Amino acid sequence: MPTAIKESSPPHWLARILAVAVLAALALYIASSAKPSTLGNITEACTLAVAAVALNLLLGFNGQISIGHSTFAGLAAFTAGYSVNFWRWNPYVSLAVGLVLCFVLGLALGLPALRLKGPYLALVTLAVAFVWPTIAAKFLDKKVKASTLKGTKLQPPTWTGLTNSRPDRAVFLYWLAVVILVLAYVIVRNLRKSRIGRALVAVRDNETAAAVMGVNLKFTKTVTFGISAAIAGASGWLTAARLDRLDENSFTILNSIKYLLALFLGGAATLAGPIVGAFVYYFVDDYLKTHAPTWHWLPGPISKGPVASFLLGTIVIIFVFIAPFGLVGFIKDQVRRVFVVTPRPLKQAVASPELIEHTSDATAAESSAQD
Amino acid sequence: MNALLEVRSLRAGYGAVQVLHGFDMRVNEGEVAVILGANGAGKTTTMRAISGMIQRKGSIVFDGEPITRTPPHEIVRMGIAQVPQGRGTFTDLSVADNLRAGAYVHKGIHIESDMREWYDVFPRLSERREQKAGSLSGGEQQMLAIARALMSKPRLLLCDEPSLGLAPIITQELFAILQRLNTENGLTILVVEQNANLAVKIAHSVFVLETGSIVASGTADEIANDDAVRKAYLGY
Ligand SMILES: Nc1ncnc2c1ncn2[C@@H]1O[C@H](COP(=O)(O)OP(=O)(O)O)[C@@H](O)[C@H]1O
Ligand SMILES: [Mg+2]
Repeated sequence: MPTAIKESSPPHWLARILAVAVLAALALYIASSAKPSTLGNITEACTLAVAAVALNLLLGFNGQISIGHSTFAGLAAFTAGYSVNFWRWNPYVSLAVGLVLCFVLGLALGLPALRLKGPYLALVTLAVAFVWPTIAAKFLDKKVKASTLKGTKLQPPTWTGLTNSRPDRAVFLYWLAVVILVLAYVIVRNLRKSRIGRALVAVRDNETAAAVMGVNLKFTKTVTFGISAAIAGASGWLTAARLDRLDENSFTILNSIKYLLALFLGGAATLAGPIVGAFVYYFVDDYLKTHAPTWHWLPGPISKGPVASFLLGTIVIIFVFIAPFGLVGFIKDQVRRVFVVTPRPLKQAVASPELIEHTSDATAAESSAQD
Repeated sequence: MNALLEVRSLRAGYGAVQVLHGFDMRVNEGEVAVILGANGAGKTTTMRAISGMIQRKGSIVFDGEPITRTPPHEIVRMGIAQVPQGRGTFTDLSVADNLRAGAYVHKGIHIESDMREWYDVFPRLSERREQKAGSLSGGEQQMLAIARALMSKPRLLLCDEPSLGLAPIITQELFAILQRLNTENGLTILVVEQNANLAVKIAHSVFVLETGSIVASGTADEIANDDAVRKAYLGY
């Protein structure tokens, strides 16, 4: 028998606070002790995680698939790179403008999504992801290619005490990525737990039932698409901040597929899933890239070419069989064997006759007020 | 009697296909009305036309207000709730969150106390309130679908084949609850059913729908005494 913990009881709160404290301590510890190259890796993993969180809002909670999220990341990255380099914009202003552009493009892409479902919607977004590099190439040909936020364009503010040296810059970018990831997580979490969030899941589970409950399907679906696109844009901006150079191949359909893999590896429609998935995906991929090419003991033709992507693909496929609800779903199942959180008891309504009469009066008054 | 819902020459369908061929119907305030019809007669289409889910022509007036061109999310706010065919519970949400979702049109603070009220009517939902709705039995899911619809505080409840796929004893329980909602809470209810004995027992008025037209209507007694209807829909 698992131990029962009451929802919102002191032990439940303690567990929550402890989890946040451990994560915060870990983030601080990494910032103070990790090498710049490790910090760079974590920054990159956070960047992937932000995009996966964005996709989770759209696909996990609202049931709309997008293979075009790389386009939003690309749009925000190029907006930042271009406006900061050629119009001398403040990099944070370029972030805000990029998010707005992504939101608008997301709304526009959400419109066909009203009529299309599943594979058809996937195809439309896939087409967008395909077209994007061509547009980006045209856009970049006009001016110099290296239009990112490197060097002096995005510097640590003085209050941080960081300089623009390579190690300090790595710490700064790391914190930027962590803060943006936490913000993205908090936004999606609060949305999910709100009235709007229930509507999102309702639309995913049963559109007809959601509509007859009063959910405006068009509005809900397009705005969700817009918000998800904007969050993906934040991921793109982080990429522009980190890389020395962007080109037409920086945001291809492969990026979109990475977001999807990270999401499903971690667990779609769970809050932590996309983040866990992104980190595991990134570091397994990174490990395989550096270690696997020398694995000549692998059988037959497999050992000849670079085996990293082959292995990663195999791992993901096996994993989806073992844990169809992702790492987070898997871990939750394991934890449930030890602890279960039981709901708060209902407050008993006082059933005095007077009160009942009073409430029915109130409802009558309310309904006549509606007339 | 005061008509809560008044339908005149209702025509509706899907794209070029017309399913409802212009019929009249009236549901009085405080009554239970039943639409009987075989599979494919257009019962669900009628429900969808009233709740605004499909294009419709003719006139639908709810409580004196024409709603023929009103979008579904506003019709709910006016006080019509629909329990869709096949229940349509949100399987991944908990029972409690299904109910909260039902109150989508009310942003207010009464949601939790309303939930408690419906938990009293449906005690089995209360026991399972933190379980995912997908883990409930068919009967429980139907109860949940009704409770969820009630959370929007409707004045007219539309129930699309609530007995579908349920054991007879559960169906009985369900209709007893619908009757209670009508007599005790004064809720006006429009139910569509294929197998109609129980439905007709709690009904005040009955409409018989065949291939998109109403071919008979009357009080529950009149319909129960109509030989043709009795043979076709009541099976005795
Ligand atoms: N989404 C749809 N698109 C096209 N035709 C439909 C659709 N839904 C139902 N129909 C058709 O409309 C007719 C009436 O269906 P329906 O209202 O669901 O019947 P009932 O609920 O009485 O079984 C049927 O002939 C059915 O094939
Ligand atoms: Mg039907």
